[in-house]
Amino acid sequence: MKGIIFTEFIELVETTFGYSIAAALLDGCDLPSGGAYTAVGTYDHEEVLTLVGQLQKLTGTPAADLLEAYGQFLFPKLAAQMESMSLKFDGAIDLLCSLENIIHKEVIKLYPDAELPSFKIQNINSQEIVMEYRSCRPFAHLAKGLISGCGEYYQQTLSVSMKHLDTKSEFFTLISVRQS
Amino acid sequence: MTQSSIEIELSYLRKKISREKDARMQAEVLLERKSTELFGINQRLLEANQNLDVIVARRTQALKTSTKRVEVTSDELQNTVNRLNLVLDIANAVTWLFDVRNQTMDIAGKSQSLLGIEPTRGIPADELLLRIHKDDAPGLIDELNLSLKKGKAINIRCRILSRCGSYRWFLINGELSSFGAKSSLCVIGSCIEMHEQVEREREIWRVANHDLLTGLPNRNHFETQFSVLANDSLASGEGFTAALIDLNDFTQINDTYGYSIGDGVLRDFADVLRGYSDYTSHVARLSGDEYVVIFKNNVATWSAHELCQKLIDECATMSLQNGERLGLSLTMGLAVFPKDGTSLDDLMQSVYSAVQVGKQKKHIGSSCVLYNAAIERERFREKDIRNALKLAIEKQSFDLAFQPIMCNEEESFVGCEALFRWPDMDPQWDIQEVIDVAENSGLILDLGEQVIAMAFAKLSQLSEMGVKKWVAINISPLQFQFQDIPQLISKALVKHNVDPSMLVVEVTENIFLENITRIAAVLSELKKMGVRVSIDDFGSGYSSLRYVQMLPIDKIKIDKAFIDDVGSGVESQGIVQAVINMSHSMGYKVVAEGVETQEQLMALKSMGCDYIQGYFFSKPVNFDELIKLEGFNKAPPLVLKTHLGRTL
Repeated sequence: MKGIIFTEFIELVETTFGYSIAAALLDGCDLPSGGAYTAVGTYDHEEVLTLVGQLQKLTGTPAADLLEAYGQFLFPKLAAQMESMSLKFDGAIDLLCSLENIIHKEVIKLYPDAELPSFKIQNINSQEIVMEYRSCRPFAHLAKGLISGCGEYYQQTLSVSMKHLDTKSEFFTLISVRQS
Repeated sequence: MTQSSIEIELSYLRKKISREKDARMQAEVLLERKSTELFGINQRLLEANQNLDVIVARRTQALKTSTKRVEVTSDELQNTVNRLNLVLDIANAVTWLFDVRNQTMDIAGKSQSLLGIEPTRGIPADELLLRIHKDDAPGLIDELNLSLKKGKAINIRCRILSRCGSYRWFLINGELSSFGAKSSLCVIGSCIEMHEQVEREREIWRVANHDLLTGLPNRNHFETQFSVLANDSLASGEGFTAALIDLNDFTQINDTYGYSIGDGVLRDFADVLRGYSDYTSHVARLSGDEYVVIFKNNVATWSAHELCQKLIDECATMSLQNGERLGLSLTMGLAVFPKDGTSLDDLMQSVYSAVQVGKQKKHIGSSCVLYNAAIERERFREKDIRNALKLAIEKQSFDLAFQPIMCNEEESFVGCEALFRWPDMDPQWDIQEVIDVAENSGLILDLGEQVIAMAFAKLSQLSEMGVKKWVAINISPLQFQFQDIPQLISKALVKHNVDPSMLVVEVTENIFLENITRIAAVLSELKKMGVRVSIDDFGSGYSSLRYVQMLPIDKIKIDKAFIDDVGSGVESQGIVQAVINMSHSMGYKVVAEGVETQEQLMALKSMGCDYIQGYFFSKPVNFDELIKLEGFNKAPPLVLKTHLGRTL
């Protein structure tokens, strides 16, 4: 998992919960990387889960909420990178529909070793879509947070709901997005 | 903020700085590695770029070469097209392509000037077919179908409507092929103008196959036509009647009126025959005065016979170019195919046989004879004689008989006539009949040579015996026509060392029918050699006093028919006396042949006849008997009345 996920998570913790929680978080996790993350590095995704699990203990906030909040926090950072790649979209739904076929393809060009989730889009209408999230990692809530962050980025109100249909081999979640 | 929390934060920040350092180092290592990777990638890209440049240069060169080649090919193609168009122009030709699927034609080349059609594509084939002559179109369609079904090449001559609106001859060639990206089936070919050539060929064919004088088919063409006709007839089972027409004594018309009038008669007669086209399928002129007519299948033989009689009547009065009227005498022979002959030769033999029968009656005018069983028997009898004669000539199985000739003045034998004999001859046959067959078949030439050789052998024997008697031999007009008689006799005289004056050449009056100037020259040549010449059977045929006067002859032998009546018939006696007187006045000696009685002998002696030949003195005998004859091998004169008679 790319280093930006980790650096931004630490940034979120510091910003939201303060240095003491951040210190307790890093001290409380026995991380292989030691918490020394750089945005250009690549780290095991388990470390995110460890950090989120530890933060849940420290703050009492459920991990799902933490991941959603993180997604919302993360999206503008990723959007900045997208802009640097000259990727422009009309709005949140347009971006989400282009996720798999345009954005992820550009990401793979930059990071050939990146392991990206798949998002198959079922178009309901121009205002509503259902995204089939499939991944080997349990980050559906992170995805939900990112979608919400996307709505905020485009200043659009999105209602996002999830339905987990996980299988033995993968994490499978239907994410319904409706623009109001 | 409490001291404790400040310390915690400071501790966190210190750790953070430491982590940031670690992270920066990680990032630097990563960047270094990525930088190295990028450098490698860059190097590889550089190499790839260079390789790409080489490939691009190579491809560019190849493309230039290909382009050049295409340009050259294009130029060559254009040149070829130009040359082809030039050749088409020179050859007066058009190229065509028949699109089988669309049934359309593409036309290129000199089509405008030849056919009045602009070179164009996709013309409906039916439209072009209308321009083909209606007699030639079916043949062309057949050829086209054969080409499509069996891949057979097209090669046919057709008349096509030309630019000027008339039909002209073209040679159409073509072959099955395919064209276009889809390899569509087509027939492709050329159409070459050859009007003049075809017209010339047709003219050459017409000249080669027709008689120029009358315009009728000639013998050659008739034979071809007959072959087709015979096959058709045999296939359909319907026979037909053929007639051979001979213009009697046509040479006399030429002699009397000249060749121009004679040619006019031949043309007029051809026109008369053309007038029977409702009944005849073929008419041809076989030779100078011979025409053949084939009647249509539906004309019965008896009808054909009636039509021939009608033709005879029509020709009984013909107007000549000079305004005179002439009765044209015809001898016609009719025979039926296949009954009287299954081949042209057989059938013609039959009609010729019928004509020959008619010819025997030509002195009574025109005749029309239908080939019949009696003629057939006669024909086969002649054939048998001819075959036996051929064999006998090969085996030289002939002999001579001799009949002595008495001189009235000297009252002694002065010579003899050598007569042809065939010891092995079928007793059913007559020697004169055999001679006629030999004459008609040309065998007389070989036979005559053998007779001359035998006669010379006997002359030689007589000479060796010291017997000075002359021997007369008969030479056929045919021998005079086809053999060099003076040379033949000259060689024999040298070979046998014989006195030329002991040889008498007897010719019949028929010789007058030949080229009289030539005959006179030949006889003069014989005379110069010392050989004597006699006219045989005088009075029996074409007795022309003019010719008798013209020819260098020594003797005239009066025909037996006149002698028979001498001593009993006043009229014949008068004729004989006149001939004797006339001959003597011209300086010729006279021989009477066929003398059988004392009365005849006495009468002839009283008339002044010089020589006597006949049974009264001796029948023809063989050589041994001849030389034993009293008076023949001895000089003393004979007492005729007491010692000579028929019993000898």
